[in-house]
Amino acid sequence: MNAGLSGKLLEIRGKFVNSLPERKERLIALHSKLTAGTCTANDMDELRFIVHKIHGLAGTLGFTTLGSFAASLELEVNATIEKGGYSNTFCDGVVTLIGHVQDAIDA
Amino acid sequence: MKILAVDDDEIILELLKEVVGAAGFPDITLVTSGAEALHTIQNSPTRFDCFLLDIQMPEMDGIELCHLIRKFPAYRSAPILMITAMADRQYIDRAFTAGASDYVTKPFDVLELGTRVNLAARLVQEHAAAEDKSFALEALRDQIETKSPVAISEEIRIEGVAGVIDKLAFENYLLQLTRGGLFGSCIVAFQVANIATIHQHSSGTDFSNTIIDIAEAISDNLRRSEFFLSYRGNGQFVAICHKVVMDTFNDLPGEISMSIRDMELVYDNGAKMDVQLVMGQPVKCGFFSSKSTLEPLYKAVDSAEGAVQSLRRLPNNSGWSSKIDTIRNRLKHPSAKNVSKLEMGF
Repeated sequence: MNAGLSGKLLEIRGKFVNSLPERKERLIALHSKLTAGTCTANDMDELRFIVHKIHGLAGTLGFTTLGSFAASLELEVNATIEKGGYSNTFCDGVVTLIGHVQDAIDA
Repeated sequence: MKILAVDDDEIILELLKEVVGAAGFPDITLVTSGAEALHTIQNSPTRFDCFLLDIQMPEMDGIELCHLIRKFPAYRSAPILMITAMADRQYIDRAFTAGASDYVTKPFDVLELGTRVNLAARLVQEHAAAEDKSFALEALRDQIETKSPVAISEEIRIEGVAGVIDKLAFENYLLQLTRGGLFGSCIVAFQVANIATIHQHSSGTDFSNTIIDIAEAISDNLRRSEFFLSYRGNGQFVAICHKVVMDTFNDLPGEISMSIRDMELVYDNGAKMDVQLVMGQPVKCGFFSSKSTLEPLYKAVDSAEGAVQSLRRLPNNSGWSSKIDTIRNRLKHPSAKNVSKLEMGF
């Protein structure tokens, strides 16, 4: 890979990291709704959307753990939306993702 | 090469711009929605050569956008690469059904994406060369009576037949399935044994229409499974079928041959056309451990070619029509399957 592209990728990686605090805040808000039992269909769609975007970007930009976890959680979100209802394990998965997002911010 | 990239995430768009630019294609337009993409296409003073589409987008998803792009006559064969985190087979199938040429899953390797865009560029060049040739042939046709301007090896474009995608898309589809480890499918190849004779006695249009008719007959008889079918030139078709019981293939050659026979195909001069279609042995994708291989495809093709050789070794007095009649009888009495096994190249 040429130096120019490497530099650009680092820049884009920085932008992605800068976008993470906002995504993390949304994840925290959605997790609160999940635990309070007030999560609507729109909230679940938003959760799916955020997790999907993290899945797509994180791995490509070198955040392998975050990307892999987001990929597995995306499958769970899709299954949850399809069948309706969710478990404590599912809520724990969202907490774990928030932790990985924080790790990427701190990296 | 002029590229249009569509993704609702601006970071991905920026990434695509840099990666594709580094691969040697700096002329890239970035838009964030399907609606904006259509508006851009309609108002662009020059034609786009290639499209990079995300699938998961609000309002109009990338698959619907792909379908709509294919409706523009100028973009019927332009490369469309889906770049998406959706790795499920249902999305891959829907994308190729909508007309996608290739499918790249996120997270993607930046160097690999560059390679895939380069392949698309090669396809654009080939299409441009084919168009030039086509214009030249049109001009010549007024002056010279050409019997068959379509080359026998040409990958004739087949539209409007269920499950049919072009050769490159088929290979990309297969590669995508093997990358994802989505096994459990099988590939089967069909070969028109007397394609040289049909080609020799047909006009270009006649030959193309015959290929389309044969594709339709195969497609109709594969409908019991989920499948994609592709024409590879030289009278050769390949299909990938999902969720099939292998035994159901036993009757397929006879059934397809009967469908073709029922079409009562004729040459331009009204003479009856005899189509001798043979089928190779179905090859299970799961038998191969390599994750990025077209080996099952080649094995299926080899098997069909072997079936043609077996057919040619039959005594000359056992004409094709009598063989079909024999198969028809065997299908009525399934206890004896010697002939249908022969047609399948076992």
